[in-house]
Amino acid sequence: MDITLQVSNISKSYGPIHALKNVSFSVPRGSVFGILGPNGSGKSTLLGILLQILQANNGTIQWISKEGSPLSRHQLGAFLETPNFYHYMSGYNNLKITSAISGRGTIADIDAILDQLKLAHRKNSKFSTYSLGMKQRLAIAAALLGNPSILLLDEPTNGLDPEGIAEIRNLIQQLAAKGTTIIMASHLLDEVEKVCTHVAILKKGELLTSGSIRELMSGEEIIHLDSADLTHLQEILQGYPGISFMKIEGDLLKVHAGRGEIQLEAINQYCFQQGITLRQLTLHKKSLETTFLELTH
Amino acid sequence: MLRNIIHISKVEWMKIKQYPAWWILIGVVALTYPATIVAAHSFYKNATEGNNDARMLAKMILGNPFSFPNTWHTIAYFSSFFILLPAILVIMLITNEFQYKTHRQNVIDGWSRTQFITGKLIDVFIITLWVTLIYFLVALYFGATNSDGNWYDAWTEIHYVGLFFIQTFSQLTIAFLLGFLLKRAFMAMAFLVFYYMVIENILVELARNKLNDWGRFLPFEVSDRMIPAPGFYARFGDDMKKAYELTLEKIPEHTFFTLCTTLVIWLICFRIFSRKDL
Repeated sequence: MDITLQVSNISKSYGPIHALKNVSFSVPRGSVFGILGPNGSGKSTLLGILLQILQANNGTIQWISKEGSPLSRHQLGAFLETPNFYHYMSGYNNLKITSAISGRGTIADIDAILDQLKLAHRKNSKFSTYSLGMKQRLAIAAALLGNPSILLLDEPTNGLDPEGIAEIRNLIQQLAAKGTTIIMASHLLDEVEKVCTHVAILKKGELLTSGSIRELMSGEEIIHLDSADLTHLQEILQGYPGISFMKIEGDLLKVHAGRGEIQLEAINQYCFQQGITLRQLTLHKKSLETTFLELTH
Repeated sequence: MLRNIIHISKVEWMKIKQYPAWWILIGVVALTYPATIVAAHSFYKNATEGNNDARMLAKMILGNPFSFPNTWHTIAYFSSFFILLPAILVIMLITNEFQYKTHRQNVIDGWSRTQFITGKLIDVFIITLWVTLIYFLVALYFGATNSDGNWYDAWTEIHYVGLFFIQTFSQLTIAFLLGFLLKRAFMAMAFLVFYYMVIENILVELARNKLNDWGRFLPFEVSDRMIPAPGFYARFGDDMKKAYELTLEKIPEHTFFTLCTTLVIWLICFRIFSRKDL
């Protein structure tokens, strides 16, 4: 597997508090990698260490370029926690500083990214006059400036309205399609499930699991069935092969089974042979939220 | 290395050229220094011009501290009283970074921690250059207008320009250290004023006749002694003359200790910033 980031045995303590305990994982090149965890799980500490603004007590971080050499910081665009800019300067001039320090982007790129993030009309306004959503957009603009090959985003949709959230989600998907590796911390599991290909889940500084979302959620499937008499349907399905558990919830019978163990065509035919006509038959995968809650509780 | 310093200087200039307080404070410095010397000069003229005996005696004692070459020493001495003005600017430039968390962002964007502190060192250097330039122009103007067109020894005490630069850089470095450690502009300024005006003066006086005058090594005092008070009193007999000459002889020693203090402070800042969590 082509790796762009290797995290090995990272530990970090603040006095007696262990913020991270021997965390190791790798980020495949071109993936959208979500770092998940409840509040206080160590997500921001981990990102801070990845960006070298926090010092780990133990462990190593390796950013690896396509050629296998250490990655230049100029190929990394990032923002962490809150948008940090010079309040007395305009959004445009703040991005000029970002560009000068990072070596990413040109003057034309600054105009283009401000336009893309819908800040062009306020580019000459002082940062202190921006709304929370505009500040967040400017932080994303700074991270995206000059098309870095890796993006590291901490709660990128914070402070955005629903339209803004959808735009950022689309933007992340577009960048991922172009091959940009994106590492993002978020507590919005629905968002992560929509955009991420891989995740690492942290709890109290420990890495509970990491890997592709598909593998993580591959354990169980749920089939939703509806018919005129749900109690009779439940009786009929007692003993049907592959069912691990079923229950009536509202006007649906929810059948739990192992991945791929039940074919929808087969169960439909079976019910029909038993004299029951199904009004609904749909397959649902377990949501990331369910998986997350199972792992963290 | 030079390329790196030019790059950092450009970024720092982008930050400060749009900072309103920067222009206000360098404007205040540009006005305050000459205004103060104009007032002192006016006082001197009132005290020495005319034909009555008292004024002629005053002129005999004082000479003309504003003519060449005395102007370099006199104006360096009086200008050094106003270090708090540029010190406010130095404190604001570093505490702003902490307040807006832009010190973190600069590192996230790709600067090393050393580059960040180098940027602040360059800020202090630029402000010192500005203050020294104002002092130089004021001293030159007063020398030119008080020497009756006589320039033959105009540059014999020009070394005071260098001493003034080192003194200013050293004292602004102390202001930077306070802003760097305390992180809040108000606290750093309050501490600076209290220490500079009160604490250090008390300690220096306490130590002057006891403890082998160790107060001379305190951070402001050591650089203050690089530019001693102009030696009007040296005209009052041999003892006074000897005392003044001894003060002048100590200038190289105090310059050396001032440079050491300044170097140590910057090394501390670089070391702390390279190791701490941002």
